[in-house]
Amino acid sequence: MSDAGPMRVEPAGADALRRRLARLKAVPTLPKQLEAVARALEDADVNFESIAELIEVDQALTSQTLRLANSAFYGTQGKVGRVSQALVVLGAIVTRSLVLSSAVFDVENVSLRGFWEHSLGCAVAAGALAKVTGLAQPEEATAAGLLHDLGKVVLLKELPDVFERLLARAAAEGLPFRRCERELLGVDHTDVAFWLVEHWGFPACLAEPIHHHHAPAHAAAAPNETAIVHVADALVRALGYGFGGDPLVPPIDAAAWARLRLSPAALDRVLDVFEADLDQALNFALFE
Amino acid sequence: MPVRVHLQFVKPGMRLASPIFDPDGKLVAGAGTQLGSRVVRVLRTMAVQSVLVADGEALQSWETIRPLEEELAALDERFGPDVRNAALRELRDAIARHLAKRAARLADDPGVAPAPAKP
Repeated sequence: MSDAGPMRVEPAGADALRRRLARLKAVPTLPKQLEAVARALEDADVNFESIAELIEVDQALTSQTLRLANSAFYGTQGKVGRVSQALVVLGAIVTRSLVLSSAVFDVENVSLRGFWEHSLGCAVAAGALAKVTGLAQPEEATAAGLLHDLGKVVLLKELPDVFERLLARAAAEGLPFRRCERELLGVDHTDVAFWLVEHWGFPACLAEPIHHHHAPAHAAAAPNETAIVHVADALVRALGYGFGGDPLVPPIDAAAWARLRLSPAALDRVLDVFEADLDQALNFALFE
Repeated sequence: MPVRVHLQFVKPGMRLASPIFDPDGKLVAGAGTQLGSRVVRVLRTMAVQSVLVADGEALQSWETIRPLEEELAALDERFGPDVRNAALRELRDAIARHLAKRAARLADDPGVAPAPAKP
């Protein structure tokens, strides 16, 4: 912490920070293996068996694909234990986005305690909201929930000292993490994530919830998915599950809430589905 | 100190702090049993939802089970004293209902049922 306080950035420091931020826009190059998978998934006549073989070479990607398929899994008997099954469950759009983001979103190696739980919780909550409201594909909503804080992972990995300062200030002053980001950096994790997903060509059903999950009114092409991830983020924080950078429950946008038309009975169902799906996802992750 | 933990948050290698019996009073897992995938699978088939573990100090708050009053107090703390946002009020009320329902369900949990009385 400097003498000027945690958030005062002296001009030279501000310039250096801006340069470091600008470097984040240079999207990391994908390993050749992942590039091959992503390219294959763009093919309209996609062959899941051959793509599964490409994915299975990469252990982290295999585990992430299976974990997501199991958290989104519903409606059939048994568990998703093979990558080719997972591809059928998730579909090409979600799998391609997972492959692309896995270059930066290696959650198992993210040191921030509770962050993985927050992301997983938001994924499961978004899936539950999609199932109960019928307003979005549960698999796509789940993927958008899982990746909604992609920008925080990038900040944590690329600017760990800055990330520490943000966490410290949010904790010391009881402020939302995002407000601290905007005050120090001039941008926040949703902007950082947008640089990536725009470059990667994510479809709107994933890109907009990731970019606008704090301001769902800005969603133009995917308002339902964005409203779902916006509410899922608040829901998982309200449940006290995981840690998203601060312990606060953010306000819910009235229009996004109205869009989901959640009666008290529907909300009760969402919470029941959340609990059951989270149980399934965790059981799979820990003991399989 | 023993900590009550949701079965879904049990970490491989944790040890039971108290024994678990089946409905007929037969011992399923004794105190000190290490929780691996085989034991957890058996407990799941018995519809066990939570267990007392001996080494739960490092568990996060959301992984443990506290009395309903404590859960509701923590919920109010997360929302803050003045919830002006109508949607948040509806969400808080739904979570309070959910916590009460869960507490009622957990009250009969075979994972923490007392040992059967000796004949």
